[in-house]
Amino acid sequence: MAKEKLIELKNITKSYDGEIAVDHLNLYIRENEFITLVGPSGCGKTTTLRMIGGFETPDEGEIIMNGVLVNDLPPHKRPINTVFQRYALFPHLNAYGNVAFGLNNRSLKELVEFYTEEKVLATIKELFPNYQYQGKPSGLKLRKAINHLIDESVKEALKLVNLEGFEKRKVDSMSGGQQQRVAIARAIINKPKILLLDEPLAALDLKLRQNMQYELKEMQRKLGITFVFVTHDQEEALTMSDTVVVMSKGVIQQIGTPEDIYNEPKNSFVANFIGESNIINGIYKGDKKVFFMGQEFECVDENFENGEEVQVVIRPEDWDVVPLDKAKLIGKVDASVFKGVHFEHCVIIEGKELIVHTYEFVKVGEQIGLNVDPYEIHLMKKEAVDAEEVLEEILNLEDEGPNNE
Amino acid sequence: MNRFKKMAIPYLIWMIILVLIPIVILIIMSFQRTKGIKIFEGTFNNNFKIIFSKDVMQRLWLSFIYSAVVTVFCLIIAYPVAYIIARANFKHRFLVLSFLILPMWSNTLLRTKGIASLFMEGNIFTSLFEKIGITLPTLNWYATPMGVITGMISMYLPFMILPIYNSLEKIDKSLYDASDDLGANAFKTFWKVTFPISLKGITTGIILVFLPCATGFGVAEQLGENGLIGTYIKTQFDNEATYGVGALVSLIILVIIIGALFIVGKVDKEGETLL
Repeated sequence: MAKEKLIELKNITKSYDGEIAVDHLNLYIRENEFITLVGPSGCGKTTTLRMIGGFETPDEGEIIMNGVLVNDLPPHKRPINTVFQRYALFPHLNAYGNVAFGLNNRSLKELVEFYTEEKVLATIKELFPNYQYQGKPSGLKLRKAINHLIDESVKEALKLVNLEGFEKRKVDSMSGGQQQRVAIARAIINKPKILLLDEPLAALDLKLRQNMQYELKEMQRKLGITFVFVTHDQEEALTMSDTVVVMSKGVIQQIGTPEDIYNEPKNSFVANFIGESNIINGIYKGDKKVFFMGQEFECVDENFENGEEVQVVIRPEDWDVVPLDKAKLIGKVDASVFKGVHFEHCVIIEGKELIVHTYEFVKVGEQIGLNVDPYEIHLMKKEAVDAEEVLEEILNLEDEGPNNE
Repeated sequence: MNRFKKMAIPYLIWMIILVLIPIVILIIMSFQRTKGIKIFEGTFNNNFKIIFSKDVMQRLWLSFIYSAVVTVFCLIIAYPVAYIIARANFKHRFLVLSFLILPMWSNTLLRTKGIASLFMEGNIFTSLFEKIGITLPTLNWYATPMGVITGMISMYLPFMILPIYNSLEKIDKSLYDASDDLGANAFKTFWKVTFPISLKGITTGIILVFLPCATGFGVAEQLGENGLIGTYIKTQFDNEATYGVGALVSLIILVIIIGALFIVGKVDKEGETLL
């Protein structure tokens, strides 16, 4: 189904002290979409998010929301709410006060609009069955009805994030996971069109993080709001999103569904960053044939010229381990690690290291025969940069940790 | 746990010698009329009569009024200053803060005397300007409430600025983003986020300014005010015969202070205010 574009970023550039954080970025976000910006730290994903939220203004380019330019609109005037990296809960308020904060900031008129007039009038009738009025109800009664509705909303929001009964708790006495939920409740109670989530799961432990991933996805489906999620964790990005945006050095490397991104990476950065990959230099022979590591393989890609240099991407789990006499490639197992579900073998063929995931155990030092199916071979245009360099860069960036500041 | 207990022993001894024993002596003395500190030789005397005399009550009242006015003005001046420095973006925030605190490093007596002299005729400014033919009007604030309060404010202002600055500076910047995100404009953000979180700093500042104002005598005396309770206590101890009266007044003030701190402790359970 065709969904409308909710927000559009056109040619956005932003730099800090001369260092470019986001470079001519083009992106649109559709209604009811779960979109994830993923990339190593310093890739500009948080900056992009902050520009959508209104906390930063772009140096160049346009942010268009519902056909209106909103570059300079402050956050409190945008139909967008944010779940911050370290939650940013108000320490002087309890869970209830934090969740109610957004609604309490609105004027009476805005709140009547928010809840619709019929609902407010119905609430007045319910609260004061004997109250008679002509024309409009008195301000006091209106306020009481609104307060009743806010109270209901807060409890509802806390229930949605499984925090019933935590209303009175001080936020600093809550665990990381609970604070996280308060932060989400505090944002969604305002019924934003877009919810921005800035690495909200980074501070949680693995089990809790996995649970929250499913819960967030479920929440997004139930609420029907657009989620823009920022993470440095590629697995998280693949698990949760409808659309994944892979970024590096302020530039979008690839936009697509999780399947597209994983199976058809556009360049070696994406191939390496999203999951593990073997990237091998090869030559396209035309007619769906590619030559690499001294052998000719069948493949399914055909948008290359005969004799063009290409990069071949093969995922570690796509290798088939076969008896030596049936194998196209024969190598020596240099190292082997048991990973729980599978073994990870490091295989050396003609001085080139390959990573192979398989269920079969192979002794270190023994020979191993490998094959690969045509549809598991993905070809990319040859890049100027070497694949190994890119890999090294990713590893370096990951060492710096998930902090984006 | 045991090791910690052992490590606490020196402090315990320290507290007993320098706090507990003096207070016990003070309590005993407050019931006696002795010459000097002779605890068990004096005769029992009801000092309470003197305490509830008009003179003492007036002094207590005046001290309270002065301290209250000074505290309020310190707060009004200190909060914007602390706020601007804490929210400012420049690198040398600490340097600016140091300039405000710098007077604290000079001798209190000297500083007070200096301020007092500015309120009198023939001070450094009037004489300097006279040299170039301009006659400045003299403030003539010496020994007036105006002068005492102004002097006290300048003396105690840093004690208000520092704790407020501390509490403001500690506020996580992302809270401002969050507040903005949740529909609050700058004004609302201040009253609903910044101010409530800085309340602890304000409380500390009030304690740090109010108490020395209410009980001290040096600053006030230098500014020409001898009518405060601090001066009264000092006089009692200057005069050997009335140690008992001085002890009793000191005790009463001590009880008031402990009561105030107790209330603060009740309100602020984590004890963050006094840190």
